[in-house]
Amino acid sequence: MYNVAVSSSSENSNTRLSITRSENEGISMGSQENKNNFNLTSHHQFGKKVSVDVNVNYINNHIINRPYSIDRMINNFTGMIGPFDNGNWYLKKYQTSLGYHAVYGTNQSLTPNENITNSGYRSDIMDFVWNVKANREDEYSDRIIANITTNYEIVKNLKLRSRFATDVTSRKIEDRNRNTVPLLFGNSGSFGFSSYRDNIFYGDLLLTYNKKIMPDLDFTVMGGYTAKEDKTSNESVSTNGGLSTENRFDLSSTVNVLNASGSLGELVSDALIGTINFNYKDYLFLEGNVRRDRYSTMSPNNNTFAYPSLNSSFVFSEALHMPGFINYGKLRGSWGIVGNYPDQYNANIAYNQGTLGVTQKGGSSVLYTTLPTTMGNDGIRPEKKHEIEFGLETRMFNNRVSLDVSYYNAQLRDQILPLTTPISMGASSVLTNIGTLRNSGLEIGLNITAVKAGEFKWQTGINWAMNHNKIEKLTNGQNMLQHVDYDGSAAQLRSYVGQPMGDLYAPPVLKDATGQPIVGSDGCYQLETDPAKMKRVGNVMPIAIGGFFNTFTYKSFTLDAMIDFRIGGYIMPTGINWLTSRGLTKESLNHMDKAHGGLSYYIKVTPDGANSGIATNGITGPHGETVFNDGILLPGNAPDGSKNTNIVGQAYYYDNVYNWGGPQYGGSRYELFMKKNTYYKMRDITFGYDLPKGFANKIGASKLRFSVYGRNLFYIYRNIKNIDGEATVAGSRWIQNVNNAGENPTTRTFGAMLRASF
Amino acid sequence: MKKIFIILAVAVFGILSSCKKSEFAAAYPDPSKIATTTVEKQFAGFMQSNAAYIVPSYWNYFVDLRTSLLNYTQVIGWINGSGQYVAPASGNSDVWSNYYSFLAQYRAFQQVFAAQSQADQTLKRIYMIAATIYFYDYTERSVDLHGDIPWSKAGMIIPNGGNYGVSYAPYDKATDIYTTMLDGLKGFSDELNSINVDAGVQTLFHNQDIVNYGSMSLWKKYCNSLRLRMLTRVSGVSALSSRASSEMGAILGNASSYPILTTNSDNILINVYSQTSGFNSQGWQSGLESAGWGGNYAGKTMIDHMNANKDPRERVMFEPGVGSPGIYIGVDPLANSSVQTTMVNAGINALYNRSTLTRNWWFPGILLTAAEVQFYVAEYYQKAGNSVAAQAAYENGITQSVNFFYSVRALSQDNTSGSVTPTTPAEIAIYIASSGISWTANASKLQLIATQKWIHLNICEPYEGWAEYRRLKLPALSFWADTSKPNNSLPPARWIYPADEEANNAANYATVSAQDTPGTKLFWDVN
Repeated sequence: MYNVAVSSSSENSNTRLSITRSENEGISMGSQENKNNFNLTSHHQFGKKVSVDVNVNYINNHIINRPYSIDRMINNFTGMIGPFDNGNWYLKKYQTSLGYHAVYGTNQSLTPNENITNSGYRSDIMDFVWNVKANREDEYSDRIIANITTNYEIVKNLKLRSRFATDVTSRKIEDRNRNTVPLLFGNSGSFGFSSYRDNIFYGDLLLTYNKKIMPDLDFTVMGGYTAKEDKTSNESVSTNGGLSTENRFDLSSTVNVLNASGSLGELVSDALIGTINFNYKDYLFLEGNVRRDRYSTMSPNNNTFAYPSLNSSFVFSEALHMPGFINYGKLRGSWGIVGNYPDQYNANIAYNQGTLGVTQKGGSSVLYTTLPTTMGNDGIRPEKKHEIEFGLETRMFNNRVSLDVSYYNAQLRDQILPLTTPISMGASSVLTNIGTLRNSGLEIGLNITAVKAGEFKWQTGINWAMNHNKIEKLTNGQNMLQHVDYDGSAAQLRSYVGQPMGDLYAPPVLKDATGQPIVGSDGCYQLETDPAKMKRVGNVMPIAIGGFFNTFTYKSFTLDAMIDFRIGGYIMPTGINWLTSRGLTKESLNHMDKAHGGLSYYIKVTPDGANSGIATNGITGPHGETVFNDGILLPGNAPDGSKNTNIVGQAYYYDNVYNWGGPQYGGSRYELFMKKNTYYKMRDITFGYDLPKGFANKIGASKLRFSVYGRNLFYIYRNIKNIDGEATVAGSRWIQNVNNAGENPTTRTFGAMLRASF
Repeated sequence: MKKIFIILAVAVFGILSSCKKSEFAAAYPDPSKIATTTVEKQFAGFMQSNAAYIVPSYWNYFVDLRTSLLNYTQVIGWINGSGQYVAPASGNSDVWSNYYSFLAQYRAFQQVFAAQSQADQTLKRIYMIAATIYFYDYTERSVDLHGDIPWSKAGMIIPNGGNYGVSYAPYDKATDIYTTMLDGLKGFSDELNSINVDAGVQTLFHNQDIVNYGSMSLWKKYCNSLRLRMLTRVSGVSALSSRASSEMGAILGNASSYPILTTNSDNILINVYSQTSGFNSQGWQSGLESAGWGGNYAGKTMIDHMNANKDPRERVMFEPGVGSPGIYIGVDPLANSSVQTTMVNAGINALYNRSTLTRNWWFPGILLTAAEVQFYVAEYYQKAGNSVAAQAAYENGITQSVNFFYSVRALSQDNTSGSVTPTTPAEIAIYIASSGISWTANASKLQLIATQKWIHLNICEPYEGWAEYRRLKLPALSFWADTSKPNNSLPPARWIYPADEEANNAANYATVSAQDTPGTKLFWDVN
């Protein structure tokens, strides 16, 4: 990474230009990112009354082979690499000596001697290696963010500010996939490119009037207008049916008619803004706002809305006489309404159009329309968030203790969500103002200088955040909102009215009349198949998140240590559990032999054809049957009410219980997959040393600091093993982050840094 | 300096003031969608909306059928395992959603049609008739899967303009749905004889009609044959049996007014015209041939019957396993799963012929074939005491069935399974006369008809096959009992309603929840 900056200034203007280039090799094989960043800022003064600021930022990016997420590798049974497998083998075998994809078994090949004939390989791993080694995806993006701001003091106390800004992103992706088989055997390979352009244009105009109406009372009034236009376009073209000339990456190599698609989007919004502000003696502030929005994602007949808000703050340490230990104290309070609108094109109801092409001899293209079964709603109202917030900021004991507390309580009225409707009414969802939600929370920041003795100083502190979401009312009169159904009713994510949002439900083990769990003839627990009888396992929202830091300073040495934590909040990383079903986790070793708690048994075939495991101490069964030592006996009753005596092999048990799918598909117990994602993580340890000033000055620097650091070092505690508790995020919405087993591989970083200031 | 500022200010205002009301209106709708449509376009949109469940596709076969209907009828062999008779939750909800998405397109079609002028409605009446016949055909499939379903008030969110509160659909009795459809089809069968389709309308209808290419003759045959199928289905229900026999008699007694499917050229199909436009069957291979997932193994009962009677279809419908060249062996449904696994792993069992069926990209989507209609006719005549006519229909059914499988094989681009010796009329005649097949030599005529229908429908028309098997319980099939699932130890009598109904249509679901068990029989399931 390189960074160069130059600046120049004169009486009426100053300009700064900086250029940064960084090259990152990805943690994933074959992945690389190059980035250039140019930044220009300049300020110009025209006379006394007019000034202009210009800011231009240009970012240029080239990404080669975006990395795969871990989840893609392990949330798939054929992708799990076994403990006896060797990654180098795949690197050697992924292509034949002629450069085609590896061939399995007796399948057609120009190099039949190289065919992989033994079993045990993982085709998904092979495909992954082929993808990253043989194929190439280049992503080029350019982004320009520029704005120009003009300030004009029309007369004393009356100012006009205008700004307009653009944010233009342009991205092009080129995809080159090599031929996997010789043309002789069939068509393969592809080439395509797609481009994306996003053009945001933004402008605002603000008029501000400021006056002292009384000696101690300042008054400001502001009025303005802002508008934004966002246009997007997507196009993609690719070869279809393979490359007609091997590895010639061009559209002209297409076998069939080219694939092409594209879309356009536009979003327009504007707002009128008015604000009045009072300031009494610089310790009591009061501000009132009104905002009127217009938004193009709302029906044009009903797209204009006004929202008020009020803010106040009171520096009580200035206004009142305080005890001596309080150095500073401020109370904040605010109330306001904020609007939110549906996503682009979601509200409108219109027909999809398509063509089937020609379907009969002498016919012409069959053009058709269909009505989407996810319905919009022309009468949708904007979502309104009514929020109150209080805050307290204090510094005490000669500024050695500082405490920030804030509490917020927001009621989200008319939340916009697609309401799941029974498809039997003709739509699977309808965009609705689904109901009222409550979101409240408490955030605390405490910072203490615990020891300050001579040249030694110890600072410590904690950040603590708690947040509660609940549904207060659903407009359709129901008491439950189902967010997700996983893997064919294997588990569900639901929220009940009046309860915290985000409960994970799973089918429970069936119990008989005596309350004993029922063990089926296969030796595993029977599950409830009725989704209505699922049981609640836990809530996905964390109870609290935060950090705990300590800084020790002695003379020129500093030691920083930062711990991050998350308490509670269930997740269901299915991929990790499927590893257990395939014998790839430590847990799956339990009961594998006598030393690991396995029971001894032999197998008897019952009259109805099922197998039954019978306990034994013998070397063989009574009729010479083989004795196995990997048995598990589940406590519970057989379906006929007798005590379960059927011993089942642990390999079958883990394969059955930690597999994919709901009770209709097998015996997988997703309730066991759900665990609290509590962790305490050593985020950062940095040891720094400020070199003596004299030494720094010698090389022309004003300050010189050397430090070594380690980031993401280790877990002090984590409830779910084999996974980075932080890397389970798959999207921006909370419901997307429940069943992911890992994004990009997380890294532990060690480094040394020398920072010089000139 | 002021000048500069003024210029800037004017520029800003110029841009900002361009945010006009019309711009907001223009940015509201998705540019890729359209606000209005036509009768012709929505007709085609409706007709193609269930194509993936008519033309063989990956999803319908792999997710919906492979572990369910194909097993309940033993048209395939599979390896026994715990939970095998439980309806696949995602397959069930998937078939259900497709039916109601299809119904929604029909409601949208009705809405577009109703918005036409009275004169245009009369002019374009053929679209309404064709769409409704097609709608009834697919509705019968859905009723036969579940029993009572939301129907007459289903899909109403479309005419209700998105007002979901008044659109929750109540359940209709299965008998009422059948009665409404039979009344409607009866009306159409007469109307199709008198309708006069304007030449201009006919030209466009010919193009938009992806099933019969605008052929009035085929629509008549489709309508009457569908009536035969439905009437046969309800013929054992006491309240409907006299209607069934009199209406079937009326249809069969007047072939010029009420023509039906008699030969394969009459078959009602969605044809594969091209691999790059319209429809194709490329997904069937992954639907039933995915390694390790089964789906195309031959079952013992069918293979034994074919071996014993030298069925001319055997070599075109099946191919011997690599582990037993030249010999057709089916998987025994009553064998221990380890025995079955050993057999399958060694490739002993026969497979459904990959070149004729699963790898045949040109295999059509089947709505109704002459063979099955002939078997319904045979059953009617047999019941009516006209054994001569029954025999003729039975034998014609067999002939049409054999020829059908050779004709679809001729469409195939694939030769994985090796070439097939063509059949001859002589071979078919010998088969029809053989002791196990002969009409006169066998006492149980219904057994003969049902077995032939079962072989004919096989994996190609599984929904039809399961309904007919439940109605007749013929041919007799034995199933391994899955004692690990007390409520699903044997194949179900119906599919339970998908979770979507119970969760999201709760008030209406409550009226049918008591009968929502796998063991509740359909109203026509009286044997």
